Amino acid sequence: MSRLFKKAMQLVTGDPNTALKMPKNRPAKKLTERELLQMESEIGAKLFGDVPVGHRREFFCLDEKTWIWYEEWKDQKTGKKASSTIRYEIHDKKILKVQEGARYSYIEGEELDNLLAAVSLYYEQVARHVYGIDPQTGQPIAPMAAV
Amino acid sequence: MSERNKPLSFDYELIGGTDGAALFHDGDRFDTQNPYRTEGMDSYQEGHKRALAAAARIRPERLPSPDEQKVVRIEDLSLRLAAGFRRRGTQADVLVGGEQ
Repeated sequence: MSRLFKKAMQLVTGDPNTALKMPKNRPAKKLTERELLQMESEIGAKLFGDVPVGHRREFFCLDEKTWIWYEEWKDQKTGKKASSTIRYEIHDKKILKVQEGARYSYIEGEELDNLLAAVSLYYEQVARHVYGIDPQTGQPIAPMAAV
Repeated sequence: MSERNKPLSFDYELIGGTDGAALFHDGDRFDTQNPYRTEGMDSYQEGHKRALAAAARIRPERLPSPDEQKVVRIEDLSLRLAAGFRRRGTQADVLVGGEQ
């Protein structure tokens, strides 16, 4: 795994013991890029269904050209921690899938459809729930009246 | 040979044409030239229209494929997220967090 990628992962995942949880009643404030990425990833991780018990998943937009899928679990046989990372890079007219072991491939067909669906859902939910922006108009969502 | 009928120097890839206009592709965009406009051709615009139609028949792969359109959509949303929302979210005086 490249140093740049490790750094990017650390930026998002950080120390699991101090991982940021989205408080329900936190005060509105300016957040760091790392905190925003963590909040986005919490939404991204749930887009694909329930995360199996004992697994940890991250799915997030790292930057304008990169999406990251990360999954971590404990191997049943060895008891050791295992993980898998996939990086999706947006290239001119194609999406390059980069996996560990220097495996590269352009995605197409169902996998491309699934990525587009996931990115669209992520955009919709992150816009609303992290940034308070209407994904259609790009305008701030009016705060709900106090009940 | 009059200036009007002087043959073109082909700096472009000729990919189509009609009796009134030729269509070229210079690597980034389509372009038309109409040096041989003949009688019977209504106008330059008509030649342009015919040339575009010819290009669509001859080089359909030049048009974005459905997969390319999906990539463009993913790129657009990624840009809005990373360069738009997130950058604004890290700047002062911007309220973030939809669940306050």
